[in-house]
Amino acid sequence: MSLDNLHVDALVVGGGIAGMQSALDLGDQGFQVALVECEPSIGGKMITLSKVFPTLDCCSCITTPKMSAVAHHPNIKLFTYCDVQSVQEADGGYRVNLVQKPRYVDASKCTGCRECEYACPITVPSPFDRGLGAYRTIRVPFSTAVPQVAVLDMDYCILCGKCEKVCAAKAVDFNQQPEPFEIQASTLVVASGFELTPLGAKKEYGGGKLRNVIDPLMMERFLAPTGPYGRVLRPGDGKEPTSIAYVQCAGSRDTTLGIEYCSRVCCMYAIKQAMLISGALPLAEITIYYMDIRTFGKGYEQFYQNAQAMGVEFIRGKVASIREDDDQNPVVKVELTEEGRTIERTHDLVVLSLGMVPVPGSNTALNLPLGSDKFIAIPAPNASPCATAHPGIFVTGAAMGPMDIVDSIVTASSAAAAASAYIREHKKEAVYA
Amino acid sequence: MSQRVDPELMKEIKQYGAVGLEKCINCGNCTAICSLTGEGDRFPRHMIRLAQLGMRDELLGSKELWLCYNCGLCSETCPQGAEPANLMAAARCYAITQYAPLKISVLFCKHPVIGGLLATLMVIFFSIFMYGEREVMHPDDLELFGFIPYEFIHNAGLAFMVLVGLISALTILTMMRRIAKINGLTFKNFFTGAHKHWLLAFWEGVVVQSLWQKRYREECDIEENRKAWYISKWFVHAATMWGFLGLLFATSLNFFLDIIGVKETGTFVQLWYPTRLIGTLSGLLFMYGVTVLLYKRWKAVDKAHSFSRPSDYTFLTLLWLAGVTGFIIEIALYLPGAPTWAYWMFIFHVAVSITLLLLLPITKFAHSIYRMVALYIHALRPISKQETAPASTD
Repeated sequence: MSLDNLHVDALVVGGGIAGMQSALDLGDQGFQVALVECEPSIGGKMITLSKVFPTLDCCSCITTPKMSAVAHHPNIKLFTYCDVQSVQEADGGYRVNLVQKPRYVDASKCTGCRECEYACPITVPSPFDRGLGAYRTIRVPFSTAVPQVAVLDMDYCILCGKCEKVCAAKAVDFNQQPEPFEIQASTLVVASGFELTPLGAKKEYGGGKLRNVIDPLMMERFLAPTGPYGRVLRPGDGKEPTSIAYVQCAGSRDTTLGIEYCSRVCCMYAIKQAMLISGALPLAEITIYYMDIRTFGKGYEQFYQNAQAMGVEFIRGKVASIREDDDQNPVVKVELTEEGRTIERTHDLVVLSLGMVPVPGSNTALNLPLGSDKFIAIPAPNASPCATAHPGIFVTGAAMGPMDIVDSIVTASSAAAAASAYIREHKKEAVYA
Repeated sequence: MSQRVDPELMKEIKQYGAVGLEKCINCGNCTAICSLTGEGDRFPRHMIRLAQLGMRDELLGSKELWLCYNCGLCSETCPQGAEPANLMAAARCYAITQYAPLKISVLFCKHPVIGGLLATLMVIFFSIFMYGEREVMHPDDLELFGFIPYEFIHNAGLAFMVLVGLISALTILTMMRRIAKINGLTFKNFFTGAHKHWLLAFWEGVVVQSLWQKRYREECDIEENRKAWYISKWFVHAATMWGFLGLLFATSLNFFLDIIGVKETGTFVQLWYPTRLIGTLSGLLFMYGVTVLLYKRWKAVDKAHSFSRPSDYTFLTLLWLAGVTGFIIEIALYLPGAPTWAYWMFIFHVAVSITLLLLLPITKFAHSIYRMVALYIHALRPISKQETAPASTD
């Protein structure tokens, strides 16, 4: 793969479900696309999830084919483990400076055989499993990663050289350095996604220190067939929980966090997880504490009613605080607003339904104007739903604000359509080298 | 039970300084975060709900209003920024005007600038009045009661105290009547027909809670209360209250000693003399409390002190002035000779004190009475008609 100056029609920043969909839609129309991803594999948050709402389809089954399609598309060039350093307007388009982070593995040689991984003696918590599982310091990021290329984490590596010895392809290279390179693109599609509100954001909820209070992406890993344990258990002591609570609006609609917007997905993922837990742990009691249940999408209200019919308990009241009893059981304090009394109730496991916030630093290189919610601003959301304040830069997915997978894919295609129109207009004038 | 929504109440309470009331979505965070709410007490959310719906009688008949010590935790953690603690404070202010028989109370609580002016006018009036009554300004010894006649101060003081006592009794009756009406109680329930003997409830409500501040100290689990004891919220309030009561006790004792002929009021005594010692120590405690309270409100150190009605300042300022002038006079007593300014300071001190006393039942000062009554009823747990009614047969 040459890292010389490359000219493309569109550069997509972010290889999650939105970025992949935009790249595929543009590539299918015959445009040359570069897809840049900061992680070693594409797939984004979606590849870590268990099932999608409201259909309960398998997440991997939707994401993995798209990942493969991106990797094998003749018009899409994939750049993983790359950071965008800066963006300048140039020649009627954009000059994007990127840096290839060192994998310490030659991507052109690696076959993804995982021999290095089996040989590596150092085990580290896996971010793919939200720290619940572990992997080796040198590894293929996860079983369905695209590309199937190993990556070495120099922060933990003890330079024992075992991986280098076992690698038949001689791909391990401890001397790799960050490599800057440049891409010229007519248009940019930003799909930098979201992060969860930090688990420790609210001190009333233990400030992230309570061992059996987890975030929803951790629960996704418990529920996913590819998860670290293949079952639901609580991280504090590995016990199978029999009473699980969801605390809604734990990371959004809260002025004390400075996050006043509704994250739109929390009600639905909580209901979905409650349903999946009902399947995984049929005897478990599941309670969802909420201020309002917002099930606005197609088929969502029915989904909510199904959960009620399945016996998931819905209690109207914002949980004010969570403490831990002597057995590390989280105890929630809440007013039952429909009855007008305050209770303390002990659960085995509490899931904080955290909200969506922009990825820290994701806008540093692009420096696009932000809205009051700190996501990328959309000046004309009704007329041009994916156009940023900058002509020729489009945004899609959760980078423009909290949204679910359905909406991410819709806006991804919308951004691709807008970008396509822009490129055609632009090509009439532009002169290509 | 049907209830007619009355949007006027919300507007009215807003005039007493409530803000953000309409932001409340009744999520219940405030009630659940509050360490004082138990099975039977529903605040602050229930109070906000009553205000939003315009349930005036229910709001004014809620002893819960006075169980709150305004720690501000509910406002600090409110996800909507609806400031529940401030609503409680505003509703208490509103209740003071509604329990008081004199509608002049509204001027002090709703129109704080006019209230401040009125208080100032009262101080000026009493100063001028005493100036007219003045007698000899003794040049060598500071003989304050020779300057303003002893009889005048004591007789007027007693008359005002009786007046204030009567008005306070009336306001307490009004408050209890309202609480009785809403909770299905009769007046007898406040003494008999309760879960607890009224003497025990009196001990619990008045001594343990009101005077000793047990719940405020032990249960209001807030940042401000975890600080060093001398700066903690409960202590600053207790210092003000204990200091004030100490001064009241020293003054009463002084008067009593005079009546039984042990010591004449206004005669010079050494610092170690019991009444003087109690007075001085209480005064120091009192001045510390009031000054810190004023500072916290001025700097808006936390949510609880961020929404100060000017009536809060009127009350605290009067307290502060009474304390400071008292100390200046005390210093003057130990100075050689008799400085002229000490005599003028004495007039001012008495005028401020009388104003403070007269305003007791109709300004923020009244919270001391209502809180005591509410804590008494809270401890008593009177049995309502619903509880005594035979179980329905359906």
